Amino acid sequence: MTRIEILAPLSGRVVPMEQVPDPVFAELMLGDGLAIEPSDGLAVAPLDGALVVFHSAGHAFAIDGPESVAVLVHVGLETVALKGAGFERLAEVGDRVTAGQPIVRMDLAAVAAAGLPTVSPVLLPQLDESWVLTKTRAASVQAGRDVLLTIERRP
Amino acid sequence: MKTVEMVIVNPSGLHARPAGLFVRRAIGFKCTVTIQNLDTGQPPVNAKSLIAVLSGGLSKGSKVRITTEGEDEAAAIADLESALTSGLGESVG
Repeated sequence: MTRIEILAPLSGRVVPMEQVPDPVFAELMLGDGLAIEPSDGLAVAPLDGALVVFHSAGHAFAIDGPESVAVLVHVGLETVALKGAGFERLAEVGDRVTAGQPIVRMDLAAVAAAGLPTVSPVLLPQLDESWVLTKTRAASVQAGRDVLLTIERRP
Repeated sequence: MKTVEMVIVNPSGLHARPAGLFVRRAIGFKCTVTIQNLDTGQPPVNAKSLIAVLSGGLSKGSKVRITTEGEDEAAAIADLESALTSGLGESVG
């Protein structure tokens, strides 16, 4: 059975997606997953793959992994408005990345000072029904080390 | 086949939220829907895939071409053009 583990891209407290204070994420309109309230601003690749999306503002990236499974990490909420301020890019679109590799560093204090939430959704856009998604039950996770989400192909 | 060319009006481009809403509308139609960033020369991408649309790097002012092909292509192109023109819920003042 095909099984893919998606590591936590950030260290911090695990937050159910339904509790993210933005209905687009809370209502799973972009996809299911979990959010992380980060204790540290370094975001890493949650799985091996190609960095296919990395917004110019540095606040959102997606990795196309094995079996065409893509993972989207949205670093903070409404952070697109900062136009890259407070985000240090550590990779570029098109890069092959490995799980745990640094992608972007968010300045937590700067984002908070701008009045924006730092909670960061990690989701699987349009995961098709051939996969079963399991979410960690851990209260907190460490970036690049702990498994956040697991998907398994239905037998 | 129907096509329309237009300009992205969202202040921060088609970032995750408006792109997600756009993709959901596209998925509601049976026809194939593609969106092409005419500024970059990239080929058209599947408008029903969030990752594909986000990878288009559509920013404010980007010129795009939407193409629909299939039984409800006329309804789809009208709906998607209207959605993009309105900014998909974002203020475009």
